[in-house]
Amino acid sequence: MQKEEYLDRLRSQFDSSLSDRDVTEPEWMLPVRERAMRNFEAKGFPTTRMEDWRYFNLSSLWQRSYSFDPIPNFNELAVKRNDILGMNSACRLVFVNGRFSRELSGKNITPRNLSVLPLTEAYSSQKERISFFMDNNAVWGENSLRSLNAAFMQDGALIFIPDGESVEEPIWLVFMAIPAERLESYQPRILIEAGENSRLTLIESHVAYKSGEYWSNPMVQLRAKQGAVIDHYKVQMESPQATHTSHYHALLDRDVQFTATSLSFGGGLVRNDIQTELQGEGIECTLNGLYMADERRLVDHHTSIDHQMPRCVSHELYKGIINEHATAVFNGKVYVREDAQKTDAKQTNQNLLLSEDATVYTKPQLEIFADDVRCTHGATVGQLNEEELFYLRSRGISKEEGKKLLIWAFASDIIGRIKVDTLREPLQERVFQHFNAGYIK
Amino acid sequence: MLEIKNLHAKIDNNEILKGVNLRINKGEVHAIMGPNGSGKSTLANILAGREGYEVTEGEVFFNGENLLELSPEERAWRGIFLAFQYPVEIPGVSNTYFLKTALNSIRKYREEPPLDALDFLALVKEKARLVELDQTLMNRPVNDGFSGGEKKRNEIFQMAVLSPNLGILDETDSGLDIDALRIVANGVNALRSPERSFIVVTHYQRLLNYIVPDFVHVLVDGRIVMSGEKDLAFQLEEKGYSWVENQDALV
Repeated sequence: MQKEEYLDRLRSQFDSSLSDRDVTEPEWMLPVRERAMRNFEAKGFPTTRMEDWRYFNLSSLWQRSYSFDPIPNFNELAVKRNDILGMNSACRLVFVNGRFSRELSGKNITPRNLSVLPLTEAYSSQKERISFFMDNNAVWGENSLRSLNAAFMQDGALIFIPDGESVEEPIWLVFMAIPAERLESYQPRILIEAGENSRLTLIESHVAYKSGEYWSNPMVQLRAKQGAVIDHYKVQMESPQATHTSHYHALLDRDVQFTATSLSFGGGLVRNDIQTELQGEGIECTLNGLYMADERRLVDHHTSIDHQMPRCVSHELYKGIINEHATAVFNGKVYVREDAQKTDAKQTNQNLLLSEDATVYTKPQLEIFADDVRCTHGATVGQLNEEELFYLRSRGISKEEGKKLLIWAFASDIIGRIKVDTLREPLQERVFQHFNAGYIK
Repeated sequence: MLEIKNLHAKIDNNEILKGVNLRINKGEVHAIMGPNGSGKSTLANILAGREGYEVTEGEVFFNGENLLELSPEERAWRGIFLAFQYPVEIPGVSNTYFLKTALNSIRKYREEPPLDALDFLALVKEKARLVELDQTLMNRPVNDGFSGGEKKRNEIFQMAVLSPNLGILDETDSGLDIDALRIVANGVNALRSPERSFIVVTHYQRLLNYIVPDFVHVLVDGRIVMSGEKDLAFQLEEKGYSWVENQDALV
């Protein structure tokens, strides 16, 4: 298929999606979607000629016809899967193939000091909040896949927590894929507004009910007001044949403490974009990440920390374990704007290559326009440390066991930082089992 | 127990060991002394199975088995323990988990059942006392952030827990102040038994005031040029290694 032909088809899918769109969606969303679609058409799919997409070839997406009107196959869920991460949590919103499922979601998804609304239910009462996010530049930025999400988003959630409130229980957002016969693309959108001095923990998990091919293109937008404390985890465990392109955009106001952790284990072609804008003074922004890939998978993280105001601190630590013929990409942008004096930014990316055929492209990208700042970055790519391995073996631990232990130690540096027990413990277990199940060849 | 015959070894094409002969019986403590670069640490590392050395000639037998054909872990299972000159820090692996895995691997080889958490804890408590090791260090990653003295004590502590047949101490005294040296030496002395042998590699005689050896060997330029009883260490301390080197020239 030619690109032009593809765009034509996409346009007709778009037009028909507008005509049979959800009755709950108000009129004012129409121009939003139309604008998004036009923006996508003007830009087209990103190509490997673009610096930010050099290693990420999307041609497989437009060469195959994905339907942007996925069918939620609820009937397949006759048996509720409690082994799926997050499905035991009381406060959970479950989306199946991009659409909200009340049946699978927690019975009480709205603790008293918080509003969690499926997007389709939020439109009528929350126009202002939703418009804030839809009109934000994040939607209309360089990355055309964000526009695609806005044009086709099927469902999502609006979460807002009032000033001064704190939510003890983490909120789980479970995105479950049940791949259908035909190729489908899911476009969920999550909007989060955290009031002044509020506290919130969010867990976003992307899981597959069974394996198969699909394309998930979720977008999350956060607006954290002064003094809010936000801990956000994203767990990506898509099907091995799936494509996952995700977008996270966070607007942070003064004195916000923000932590975003990306845990990327599944999928075939995976892209995680995380963009933060530090718009006030005294913000502490932490980005952690762990990615693992084997076979011929590609996992790509592009992060951006934009220091716009003085006296903010950012820490970034991303670690990757790459095996067999897999490829990992890490690009970490740190901007320090003219006004952002006294910035303290630290970025680290460490990669463990377990095979001769594994590849890593790592690129720190610091752009500093202020003079009184401290910025450090470091990237490493290496094999297991032979000295450490010999030390373990000299004590009687076998070579295989010792390797597992060292890889586990490397990964647990990130997993150990997860503050939510109900996430950290099952992940520890799964990652450990993963290594035991012959990840090391 | 251990028999080294005409051992030659190279590293990066430099010949380090040029024909070492040594026989160690059960229960004996042998000190190996020598100037820097004489091959003492190379010998210790080859016995433990460290990669990177090429043995070009000679043989090593441990209780009748060809030691050089065994992997490092197989040597550990048979009761060889190397106390490292520079113990490695392993962030992310807790001391407890590491040591329990090691001990149970060795027990498995000995066809003993694995120790459960409670028995292991009791053993750790007992052995930690031996080298006055702060038990809270057990919850930390292996050697991570340990002081120089704590690392060396941790080596002896591990040795006590794993209970080897042959303990090889590679310059365990280096970097220790006199108090730490005494604690480490007391730990080693407590482990001495008619069934257990030691090789004590050291540059200085000082350590041998505390761990009194049965035999002293002087390694110079890859060969044992002189062997004797503990008095030899005092002579060396007094006269320096040049004395031995000159003697060697006379021979």
